[in-house]
Amino acid sequence: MADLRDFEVHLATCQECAGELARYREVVSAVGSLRDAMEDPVPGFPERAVAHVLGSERRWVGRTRWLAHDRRVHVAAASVGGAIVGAGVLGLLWWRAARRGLLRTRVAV
Amino acid sequence: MVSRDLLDRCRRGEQAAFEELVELTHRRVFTLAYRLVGDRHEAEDVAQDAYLRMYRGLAGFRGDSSFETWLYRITANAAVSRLRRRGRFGDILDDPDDAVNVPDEASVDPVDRDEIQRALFALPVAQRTVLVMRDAYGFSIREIAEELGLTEGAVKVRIHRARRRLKDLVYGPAEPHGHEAVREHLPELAEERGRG
Repeated sequence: MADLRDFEVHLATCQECAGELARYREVVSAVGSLRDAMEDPVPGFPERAVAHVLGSERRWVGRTRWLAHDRRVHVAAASVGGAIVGAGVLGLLWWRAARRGLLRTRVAV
Repeated sequence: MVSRDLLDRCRRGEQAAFEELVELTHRRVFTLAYRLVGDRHEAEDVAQDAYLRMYRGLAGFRGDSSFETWLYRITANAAVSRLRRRGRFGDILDDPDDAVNVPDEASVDPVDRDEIQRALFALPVAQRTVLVMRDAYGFSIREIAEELGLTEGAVKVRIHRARRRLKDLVYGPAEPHGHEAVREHLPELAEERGRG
């Protein structure tokens, strides 16, 4: 903060630096004023935007419904699910058998 | 200003309400998109993308910030995604220090909007993006950092560089006169004066 105070003192006596600061502030303020200055899109833009959103949503909902109601999707999902569960069960059985085998070996020793 | 009632009707899926919402906000959304991507056709695509994201996220909008602020964030996010997709990712992240063409003749105070807009579009994308978000739309440093994947320190430095470059574009480069240290402190000094 002491530095800033020094600069403030300097600004009071140096026209170039004071001008530099004034121009800097003017630019910041001018960019700020852009928020109120609107650009106009091509006519019909709001209608196109609404159509784009609702069209995308309908396609998305349509795909979701298709996934939810199509019998082939159900069969495919059931097959994949069944395969995963089957593999899990086989893995578990193999693991238990391996453990028992290991225990027997230890008892024998 | 978008009313709570209008938002509730949109959430319930009323098409007329959504049309009204777009009608009320489309110029602001398009303007922000245009200032970020710098092209009218792309700005329209960005604005449409922003509306789609807004529509899908409306159910989760809790009103912690104003609806306009939320919509601006979505628009900025859609614009940044667009700039990245079109291969300008490097441009957003890089802050080139190479010189841009600076007009020889200095303009006079004050700066009008057309002039500042032209100068803004002459800035590198990386600098224009942060400046529009910060100085024109009031995004916080943290929000900009999150949006662009930068540190807050990097965003502050970039904003300062962008303002100085914009000033040089509008008024011409400052003549060196041995007090360059002051230039480094222009943001703090400008803020101090603003308070005073």
